[in-house]
Amino acid sequence: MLPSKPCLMALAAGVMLASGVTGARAADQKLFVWAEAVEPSTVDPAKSDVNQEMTIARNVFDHLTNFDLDHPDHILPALATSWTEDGTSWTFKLRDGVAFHNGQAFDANDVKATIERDLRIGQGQSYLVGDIKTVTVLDPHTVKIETAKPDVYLAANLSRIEIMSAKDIAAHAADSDHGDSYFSAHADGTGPYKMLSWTRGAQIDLERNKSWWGQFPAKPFDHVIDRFVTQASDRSRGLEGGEYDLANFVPRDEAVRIGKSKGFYLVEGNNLWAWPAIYLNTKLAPTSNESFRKALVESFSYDAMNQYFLGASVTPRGPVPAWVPGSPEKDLAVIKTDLNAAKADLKASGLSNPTMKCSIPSGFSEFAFAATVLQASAAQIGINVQIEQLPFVQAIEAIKSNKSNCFVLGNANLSPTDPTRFFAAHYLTGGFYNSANYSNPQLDALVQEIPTVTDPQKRYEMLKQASEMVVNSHTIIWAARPTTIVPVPDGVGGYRIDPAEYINVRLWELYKK
Amino acid sequence: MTVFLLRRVGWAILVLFVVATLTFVLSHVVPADPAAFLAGQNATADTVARIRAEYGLDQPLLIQYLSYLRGLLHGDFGISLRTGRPVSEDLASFLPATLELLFFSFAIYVATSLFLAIIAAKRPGGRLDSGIRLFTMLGSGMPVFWLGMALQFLFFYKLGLLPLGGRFPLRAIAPPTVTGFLLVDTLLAGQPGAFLSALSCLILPSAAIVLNLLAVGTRMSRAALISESGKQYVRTARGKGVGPRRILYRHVLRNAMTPILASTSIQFGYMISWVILVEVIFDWPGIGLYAYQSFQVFDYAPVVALALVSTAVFSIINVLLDILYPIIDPRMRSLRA
Repeated sequence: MLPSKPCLMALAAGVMLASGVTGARAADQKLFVWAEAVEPSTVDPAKSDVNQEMTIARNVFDHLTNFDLDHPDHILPALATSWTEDGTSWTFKLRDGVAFHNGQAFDANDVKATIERDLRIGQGQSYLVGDIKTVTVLDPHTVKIETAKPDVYLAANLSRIEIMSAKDIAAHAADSDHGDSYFSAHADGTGPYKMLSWTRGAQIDLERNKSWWGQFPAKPFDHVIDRFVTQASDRSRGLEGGEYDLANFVPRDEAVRIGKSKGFYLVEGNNLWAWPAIYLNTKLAPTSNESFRKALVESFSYDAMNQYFLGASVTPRGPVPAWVPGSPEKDLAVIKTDLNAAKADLKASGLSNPTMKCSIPSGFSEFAFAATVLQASAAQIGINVQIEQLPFVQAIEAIKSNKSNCFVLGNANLSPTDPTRFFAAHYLTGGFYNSANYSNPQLDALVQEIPTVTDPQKRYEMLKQASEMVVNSHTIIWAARPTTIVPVPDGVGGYRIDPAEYINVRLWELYKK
Repeated sequence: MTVFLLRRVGWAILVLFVVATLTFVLSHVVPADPAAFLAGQNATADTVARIRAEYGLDQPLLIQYLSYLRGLLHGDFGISLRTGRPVSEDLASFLPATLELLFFSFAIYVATSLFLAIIAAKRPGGRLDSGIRLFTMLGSGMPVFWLGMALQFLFFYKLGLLPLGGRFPLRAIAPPTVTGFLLVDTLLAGQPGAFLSALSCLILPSAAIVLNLLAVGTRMSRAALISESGKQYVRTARGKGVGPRRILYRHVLRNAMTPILASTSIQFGYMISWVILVEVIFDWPGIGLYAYQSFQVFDYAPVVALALVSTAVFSIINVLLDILYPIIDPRMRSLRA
């Protein structure tokens, strides 16, 4: 009566055919698949601000300068071949014979148009060059940049500014949004990879720019798929199963496991994060009480966080990581758990059985863990911490509007050499991520002055002083500074970790082994 | 019939209006500042204020609501803060993927639940009936996200049979977009291999949805079939020597279709909500994944649009079923009259 056998046979045939199809996806020797945790909102380098947007910006566009990953203070030529500095005036000689992917020749007008557009928009990485006052084209291959005040970090920070085509910018200037919507979907740089297409919700396809001025290794990847893979478990499994060649934000325990398994190796390196960082609100009781905040910092179990990161992390002593050129980290006092001191400080605060609320952005296991460690640590000295997990924008709004005592985030900076940027968004008055709502005019002035000082020793002393101000304000608990661990398949070579970057990929350095 | 249909369409419009209002209010009363998020971590207060003004987020809620309703009447769902594109454009990109998954899963669900119900109803309480009950209950007992991940683990990671996620295998070349439905577009392009590739991507997400809903569908259909099979006219037909196949397909099944369709339409509503979860698990580039990512940054417009679109799809399916009832069961015509 029932066609069960034919149905089952058809089902089996379907699965076999389907498996045949997937199995027949012959390994394309020149294709590289990068599993990206989130789809970018934009490919406009002027607005690129987060990891997934940097993937396109860094690989499709070039920069005036570059830097040595192993020695970030060694600034290398890129689109600029040489430069001179005279106080507030910088002159850059530009590379000849460079062309955009659409065939337009690169010249000084592109530098001027790019920087002026970045500053006008005021988003993305423009904060790194916010002191630029004017850009003047001296000749097609020479550009002069004037800053409002001396900035010793300018050349390094220009390694983060992607150069766009002046003609493209001009062509879309008449759009009602000055071309913003055009550039959010079209990336046309001079960089090592060209953007071919963007399949919304799925992937961005890139192709190697064979006429790039830089050097590719032997056996580079000709095609790259930047695949958006939302679930961390999918990125892990896809990497292990050969679907992806590399993936970012693979959970640490999975990364270590995969990296140690057959067919993979591990790449470990510094990164830009203090992660997680717990901000203590200075404008809401009880965290408005300095002794109370100090008690929280002293009670926190830093060992628990280091264990969470499988030992591949350190406890920060200040806001600037040790790898950053000129970092005062090694000369700052060690921050460690001291329950006796914490109890004494809690007593000094005059608060009894205090309760505080901590709002943490949902979706980050590290944040949830750090908040739990805070809760358990604080409980040991008699502080009750209530934790609420909220969507990111809601959590940050809770602390900004003084409805919460604490907020968990990372403390990062995209500049390879400019340590003042670790302060700007997080500790200076009005900084977007200044979630402690901390304000110290002395610190603000000091940090503003550091880039204007040419004497490295004096800069170092100022930076140390600024770091100590933040440490002594007890507005933040730097829970840990983990290293980045990336499992790489044996067949892929050339992967390096950029310490001044989120977990990203320099496609032009990769090759098929 | 026309009056009945007009009344149903009128109700559907009223439901859409209520859903639009509720979703708008609920998503806007939560304290959050998406403009600050969009501006980025180092933007100045001026930049954040400019973005807020650009998107009308600095306006009073009532003005934003009226402006939103005005836009809706013109088919304008607003601009997505996250993608920077009109939501209608995003929906046009993502909706075909969702509809393809939804309709494919629905078809599999209807066929499978009916197929299993027929087998189970043949000998109620028998081995097959018990086996089917156990199988479907297991599927329903597992949360859909867990089931999805378990299927991925087994069929991608362990067996290497099916793709991990996405709508089309990574290393295959997708056909040109005509309808947006890959199964259709691959056939239109005359690419049977690509059709199978697209089909292979549909299997796991559909299985996660279908397995989760199968128990209720099978049990409801089974109960309807058993109930019909015990009626006098079936015994009469048997007595007249009518064969069991003819009794089942010509009489029992047809008469049992009204309650089966009613339960199926309810299950379709669940299916819409499961699709959102499944899209996230399988990175299926549809409106569910789009809404999930939008909600994370409180990008209001896509969230409200998704609520409207899913309500509209659910309403349309219900109206279609209302049309189908009297066609399948002529007794319904007299009831409505």
